[in-house]
Amino acid sequence: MKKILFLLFLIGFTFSCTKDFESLNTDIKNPSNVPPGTLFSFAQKSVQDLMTEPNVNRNIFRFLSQYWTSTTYVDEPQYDISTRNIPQNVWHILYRDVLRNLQECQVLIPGQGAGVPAATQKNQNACAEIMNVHTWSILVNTFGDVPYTEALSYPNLYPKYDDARTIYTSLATRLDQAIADIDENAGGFGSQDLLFAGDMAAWKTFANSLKLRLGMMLADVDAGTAKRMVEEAAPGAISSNGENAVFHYLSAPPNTNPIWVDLVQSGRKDFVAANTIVDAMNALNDPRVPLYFTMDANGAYSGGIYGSSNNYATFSKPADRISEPDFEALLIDYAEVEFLLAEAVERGMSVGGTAAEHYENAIRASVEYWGGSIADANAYLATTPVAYATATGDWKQKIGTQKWIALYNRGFEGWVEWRRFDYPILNVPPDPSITYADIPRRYTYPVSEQNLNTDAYNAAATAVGGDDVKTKLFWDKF
Amino acid sequence: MVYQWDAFDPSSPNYQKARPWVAAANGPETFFETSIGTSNSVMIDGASDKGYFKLGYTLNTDKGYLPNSNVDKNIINFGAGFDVTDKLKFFSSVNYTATDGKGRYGTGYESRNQMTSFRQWWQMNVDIQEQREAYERTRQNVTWNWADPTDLVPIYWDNVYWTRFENFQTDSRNRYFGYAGLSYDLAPWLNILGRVSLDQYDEIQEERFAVGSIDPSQYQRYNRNYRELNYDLMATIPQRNLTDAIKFDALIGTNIRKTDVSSIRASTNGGLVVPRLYALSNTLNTLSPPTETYNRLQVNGYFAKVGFVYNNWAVLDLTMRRDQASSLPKENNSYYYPSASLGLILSEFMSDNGFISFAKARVNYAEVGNTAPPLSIADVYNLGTAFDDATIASLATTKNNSNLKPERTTSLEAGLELRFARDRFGVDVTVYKQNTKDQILPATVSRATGYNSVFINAGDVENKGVEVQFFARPVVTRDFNWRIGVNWGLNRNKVLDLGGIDNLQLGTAQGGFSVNAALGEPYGTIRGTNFTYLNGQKVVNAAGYYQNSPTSNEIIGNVNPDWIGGITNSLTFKNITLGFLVDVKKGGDVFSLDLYYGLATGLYEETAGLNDLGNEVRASLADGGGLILPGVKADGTPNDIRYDATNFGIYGYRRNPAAGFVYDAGFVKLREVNLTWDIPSRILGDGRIFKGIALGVYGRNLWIIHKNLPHSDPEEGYGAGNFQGHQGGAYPTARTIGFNLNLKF
Repeated sequence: MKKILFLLFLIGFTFSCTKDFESLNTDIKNPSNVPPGTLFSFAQKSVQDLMTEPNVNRNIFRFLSQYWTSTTYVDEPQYDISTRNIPQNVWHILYRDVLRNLQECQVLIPGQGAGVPAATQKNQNACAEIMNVHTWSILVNTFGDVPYTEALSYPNLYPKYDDARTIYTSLATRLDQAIADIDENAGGFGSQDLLFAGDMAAWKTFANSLKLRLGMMLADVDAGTAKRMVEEAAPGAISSNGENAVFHYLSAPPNTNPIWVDLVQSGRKDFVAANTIVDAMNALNDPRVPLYFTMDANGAYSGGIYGSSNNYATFSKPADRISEPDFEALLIDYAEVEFLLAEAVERGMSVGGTAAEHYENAIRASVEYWGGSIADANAYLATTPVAYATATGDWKQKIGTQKWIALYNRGFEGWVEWRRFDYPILNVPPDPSITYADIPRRYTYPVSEQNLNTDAYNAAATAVGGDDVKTKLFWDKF
Repeated sequence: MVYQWDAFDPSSPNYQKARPWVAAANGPETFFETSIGTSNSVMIDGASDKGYFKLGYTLNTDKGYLPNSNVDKNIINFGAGFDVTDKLKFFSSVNYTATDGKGRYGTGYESRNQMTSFRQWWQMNVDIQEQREAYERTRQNVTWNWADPTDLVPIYWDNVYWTRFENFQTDSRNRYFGYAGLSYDLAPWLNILGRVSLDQYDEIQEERFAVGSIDPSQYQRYNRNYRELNYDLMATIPQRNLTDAIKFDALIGTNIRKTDVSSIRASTNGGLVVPRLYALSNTLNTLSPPTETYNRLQVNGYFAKVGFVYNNWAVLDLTMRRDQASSLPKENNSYYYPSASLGLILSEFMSDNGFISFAKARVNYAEVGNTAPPLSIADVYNLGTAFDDATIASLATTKNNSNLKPERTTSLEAGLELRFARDRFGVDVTVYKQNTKDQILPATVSRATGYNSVFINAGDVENKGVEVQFFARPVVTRDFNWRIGVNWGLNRNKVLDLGGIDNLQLGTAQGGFSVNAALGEPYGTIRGTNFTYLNGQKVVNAAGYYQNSPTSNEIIGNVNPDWIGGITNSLTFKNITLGFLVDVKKGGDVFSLDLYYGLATGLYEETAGLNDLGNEVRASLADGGGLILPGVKADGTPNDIRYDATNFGIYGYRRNPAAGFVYDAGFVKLREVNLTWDIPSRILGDGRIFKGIALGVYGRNLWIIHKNLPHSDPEEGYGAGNFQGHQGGAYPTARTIGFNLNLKF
């Protein structure tokens, strides 16, 4: 009897432990479903943090556009993008954090059920599409050909690269569809929308401004498409600083302006203003100089020699306001739109006004945005080297130079426009092995692609004309 | 004369004084202290015809070789058994270990790993003892690395003593391990055993960044609970004779293993308000939500074994096991794995007086099945810190896989053991082939997929090799014995199949360096940028430095050694034994991040000295300095371009490919020497308290006899797990000298 009881006891505990077997593998600390807006917010913040931060591991666009330079570590200002795997870090964030989450967000939108009206869902999808187009354009303008049609399509682990020009065509179509889908009387992502808090009219304005920018990118390679896109988009684009597409950072980590993280919180003193922009602005008596920069050790404004090592205390630094924790970031502003319109007029597109009017509006908008007065702006515009009629060079140099100044703090756009306009003339870092031709025209593809998507990488490297920073992108004809 | 860091420290005797620019009297090597470890234990036990007990206590203390580091362990062991009847026996054991650690060494590329400073970014003029004095004088972060004369805060590196005494970590762990069981002899030929065992620990790890450090001040705590329960029930037939010639034994049983692991990690946000107060509430900004994990795994196993012995010269064992695991998809969650082994004692057929005193041949085949880590089947989202009113979530960056199947390792091994001349010498040779099939792992993939990694069953990785063990006893006398042991192993591995992918990336680091397992290649090839060669000569470019390959996926090394080996010697004279061990590793490559950066910053001797003209290489080109790198120009003619070495570039990472920092990681080491004296009982005397006393002294890691990696031990590295062949911030290997005293009552 004792034996049997003993055996029953042992067998009993054996089986009492096996119930709910499969449920043990359920993650009870992480959700298997979330509202799509939560992913949308994450994607918005991820792309904006990347484009805003001056972290040398990810965003050195302020070096490429020679707004800032470094104090001690001159590798990146001297265009070493491989030591820190910079192309890889950019690529990873844009595909994994931004595009994949936008895609997932779009998958989840229809599943929200009847509580979210169809018009709102359509608007939400349009918002996600606009963010997609914005992000893809950053990728293409950085690398050229990238995986597009086969990207984000697990289980395909070896996505082939698509022709950059073809991707642009697809982006234009998607952007048009998104603009058409927007219903300004219905809601969007509401408070999950970190850019416009669900204001669909603002999304429409942003989308048109983005279209204006993308259209103009094609001007040198496909004038017809460029003209059509620009002319369609211009009437609906941003028409005052009040309509700027702005990302409002918060005062506490982890949601602060990332410039604060790298310049203030880190305690590092890695950056000073570059002499390239300070010299150019000083020469023009630009009213934005004290708005962009701190005073140097002599109570004046001067930049460190671009690409050289520089003493932190000696030179002007980015203005204190720029590194406030809640300093906002711009995606597109009125000044950029007006510069695009000035260029459109010069290129014979029908957008109304004269190139000089748009040029002046752009500069006024920029001076005002940075805290200068209209009077300052007008006085500046009246000077010979600034006035559109008398400024040096052809329209490319005039617009290129002033747009570059206005795009300060938006290093990526500064670099894009430098490649398009080929102005201003940048400085060459003081290193015997660097020439003007070595200033990057694109990023090389990530090392992770060389190792993990080798065949597609090799095909793409050949297709773009060599995986080299000196290779020009398709829209960079001149 | 130069104003150095202490010229800006008002408490320093050198305040506002310039000093000669010379190498420091006390370099980083004086940072290390003598580490002291003690181990003391007592044990009492007792037994009667009905039962037994034992109770032990051990106290281990370990003071590390870095300042402010120690690990203390208190261990209590208890075991008891009782025979309820002749057939029913109860047995149990409880072990408790309390571990308290402080100041464990920082690893990786971060400010708390002083070795990354010492080996990569240090200034050779800085006297480490003066840094210590500065910290002790002020209790402030008086760094050698000020931001600026007008802004006296550290810029890239803290005072290392500040790091050790302010930014230290602590941890403590309470671990319980025990079991209780009953054994019942149902019949003389059948025993039933049931046992429950528990292994459980809770631990806390706390990390600090003090206010005034280069990193934002922070307190972080990490709590983890681990529990593993095992339920075993088995029936055993002890070895018995089937016939006169055949003996037989058997076992059948079940094992249920349940593992629960939970953790929570929380940290202050944005800084600390009150300096030196390390509490979550002492946070400058609102706390972000802590990160929680909870993993559960259950494996239900059934197993059986039968063994046969034929005439004492043939032994055959057969086993089979079936596991069912909760972490696999339901349709694939059970798997069987068998093993078989056969041993033949050939010397049974040889004459007793022959040269061969013992000969045994063996062959075995085994499979081992394994399951997936918990939570690798279904996809989830991760919730982040809210952005104002907006909830933030993102898709997990590892793609889980609902089609996973169990992984399986198969190994086939054959061996021959021979002893000669009455066991005066002998050799044991084993050849093996092991295949790891369908290994479950998150494979790193092109991020254009939207993921960092995806869970896959990774095909087939083959390891095959030979192991040889040889021993000899050249001298065997009553008072003096000498024994030599040699072991030697050679392993070759190859990736045969990766389940649909063509390269498994095992790890990456700065500068495009990576370690890979690609199809058809060894598991552990190092890739990166390479030199370019012309007729076997390195090519320099027009500027005079080496032309790097355009891509970073060139194969530039292999982490696997050619072979490993060791020699032990043991010499015994009466009661005194002297032993020593020499270890050898031949080949295998390592990428040194320390030299990658340190050669650039110029802290290694290789970056100074005279050039081919007999001038200081660091002098300007105008003064006859600079360097002509060995190699050829693009046209094949010898390089004659003198490259300026006044600034960094020519030696370190900036102008050289990753291949320039790949070194042979082979070594020859005197690993251990030990000397033991068993005090003979006649010396202890008749009225002795002790039954025996043994005195011992030992030394470990005494001498690196030969190596090819400069400035560090090739065995060091922060490569963890599969990511080998990579060294950065390497700690020096500690030479250990120890004493043993064993008292038996």
